[in-house]
Amino acid sequence: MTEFAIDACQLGKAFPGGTVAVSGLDMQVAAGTVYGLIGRNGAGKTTAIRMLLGLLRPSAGTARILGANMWQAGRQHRARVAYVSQEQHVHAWMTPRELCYYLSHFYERWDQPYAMRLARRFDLAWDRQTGLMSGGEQRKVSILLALAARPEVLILDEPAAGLDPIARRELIDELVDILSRDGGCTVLLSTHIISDLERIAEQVGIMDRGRIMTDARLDELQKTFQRVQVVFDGRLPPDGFSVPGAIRSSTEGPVVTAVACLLSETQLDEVRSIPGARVNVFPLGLEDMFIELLKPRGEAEAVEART
Amino acid sequence: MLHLQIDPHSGVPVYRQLMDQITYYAASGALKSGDQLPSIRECARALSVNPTTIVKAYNELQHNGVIEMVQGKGAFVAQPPAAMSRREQGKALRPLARRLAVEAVQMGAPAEVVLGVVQEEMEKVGEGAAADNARVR
Amino acid sequence: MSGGLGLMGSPAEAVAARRTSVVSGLLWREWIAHQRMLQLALSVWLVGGWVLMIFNHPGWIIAYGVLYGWAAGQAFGGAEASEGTEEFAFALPPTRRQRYLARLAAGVASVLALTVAPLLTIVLNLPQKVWGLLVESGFTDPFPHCESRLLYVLAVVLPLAFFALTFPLAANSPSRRALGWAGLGGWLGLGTTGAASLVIKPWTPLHGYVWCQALAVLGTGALAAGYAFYLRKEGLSRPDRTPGEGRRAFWLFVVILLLVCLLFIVWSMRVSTRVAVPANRHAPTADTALPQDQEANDAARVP
Repeated sequence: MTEFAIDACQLGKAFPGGTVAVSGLDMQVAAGTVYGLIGRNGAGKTTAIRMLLGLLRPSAGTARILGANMWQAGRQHRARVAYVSQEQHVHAWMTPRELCYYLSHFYERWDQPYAMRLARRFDLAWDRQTGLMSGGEQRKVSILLALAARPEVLILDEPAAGLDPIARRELIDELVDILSRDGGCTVLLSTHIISDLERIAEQVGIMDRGRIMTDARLDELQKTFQRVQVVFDGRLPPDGFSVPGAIRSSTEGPVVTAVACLLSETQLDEVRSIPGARVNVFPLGLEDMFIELLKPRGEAEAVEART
Repeated sequence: MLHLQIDPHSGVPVYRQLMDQITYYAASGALKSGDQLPSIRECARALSVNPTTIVKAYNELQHNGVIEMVQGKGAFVAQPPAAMSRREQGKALRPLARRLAVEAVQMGAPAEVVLGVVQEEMEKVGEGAAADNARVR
Repeated sequence: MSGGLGLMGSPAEAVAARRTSVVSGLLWREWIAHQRMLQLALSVWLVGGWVLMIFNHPGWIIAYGVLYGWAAGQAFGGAEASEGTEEFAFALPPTRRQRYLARLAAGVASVLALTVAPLLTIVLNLPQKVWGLLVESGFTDPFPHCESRLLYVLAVVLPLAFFALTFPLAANSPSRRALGWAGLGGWLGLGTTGAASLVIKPWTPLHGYVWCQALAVLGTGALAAGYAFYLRKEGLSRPDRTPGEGRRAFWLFVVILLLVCLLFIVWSMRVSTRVAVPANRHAPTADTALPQDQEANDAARVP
């Protein structure tokens, strides 16, 4: 069986001050797929990504991209991977033209005409120092540099933060273009803009407190997590009633609304068989799902759901 | 041409939405047998979604016999299936019918209402197909 | 300009071409990044050595070279830490090894160029010769010739030592603030060896050249240690506070710098007693002007 394009095994990172940012992280991304990584601020997404790329040294576990550890890999191997950082600090004194010239030395497959097309599409001044550009434009420059390198693995950490909706859609469209091409591309996309993931992610990993809490195909998640509404005809729900598989549930009068993990079609049958109970099942958007799964609940811990 | 409306945020998988729409168009006659569907790439670009969802949708549609994919040429709406035996039709429709039945029982609707509604809908879809055929002639 | 080299002949050739292009890419960046500094250093030398012609003694080259070596060590070593672009740079394909060595090579080359060239111009008395071709100048007095070989050697060794001691510290500093401390590196190294030479008696008679060797060893050791650390460096750009913020750190910095400078001054006083005092340009004394220069000047007077 072919190796995974991105393979993290029990990855962990403890910083000198005592903060444990990542612990026991397992992530496998097959070649050519798009993996969306979501999590609350401080969940450790950026730290995990940095460890994958060989920017940070893991305190535990292994991280490999395309079969090799990026710390030890040579230039040729590293040239198959491109990265857009969350902080997108590129050399402020270089213009996009100079940056492209600079990077073209390092990447085997650097595509200069594509870089120029992207600059036109993103409306970037080719000869303006990046330090003089706005934050959004600087981000576009970082994206341009990563895409023009024609990598096999593309790692994007919050690429669309600070971009207006049109620019965001342009980014998605460029990614769709890349994915349509022969040979495809493995994409790891860490983002808070969950609506973007619903368009292009095939696999979604929800990270919480340094670990992957849930890791499944997007369509599986959409089928599994649904909103269930049980309406009892003109009376209050029976004591101790709960929707099977409910992660979160609230009751208002005769209506019980719950977000449930439905692992089989027959899971709700017993509820349906209660006389006078009407069961409605609604699909749940990924953003709502994320909120429901990770919202603080007070005393109880967030439930782990492994699909 | 073909207007596909996808809402990625509804919680319904995109490939599912695509399948449902294309199946509906094929059934209602907006898509006639032999019509070519947009290529996977065009579709992905137009809808701004991952091409693999289009691939999955097309594969499922082919599996269900709604379309056929010809190597090197593209995807085409399939010829209407050779008449399935009634038993086969019954088998294919049973899961949908079960869901309908469950809903009906829950709300306490009698069978006549259910059957009446199904019949009306079939007529509407059929009318659409007939009307299109008439236009072509 | 078009990027990408495209395929050239066999894959092996392409790989070789790509390897050199990686190096040239890294060097190009150093050139572009430090252009202004290099141009400044070059123009200082051109003005001082060729126009005003005050760089007539290796001592000047030592002073100028040391300052340049010190600045270059920090500039070449810590460029990314100070800009805050380490994350970007470390994620690029070139490995840490390639980056360190390319920078080192570029820095050493620039230090050598800016010390050896001035030295040669002094030894060969080029400015006077060149001007003499163009102008009936009033520079009738030859440059005083410095007899101490040691100073010539020091003029190359000291700047290199400063570079070699500052560069690895700068390369390994995790933030701009730490970069400030790296600037101390050269001075500390110098001060230490200078102080050591004051203390270790057997060194004294052999002072000059042995001291150069000690500096060479120290410099190489520092570069090697810096290399080992750099390979393990985590690429985080934390462009935080520059030295001076945080009162205690600032005063400590100042005190250490003063101590180091004091040591340097003491050392230089000891060294200077062994070297002929450079003569005034307008009044050459018999014991500093060499006979052949005297003849050349006499000849030059003849129209």
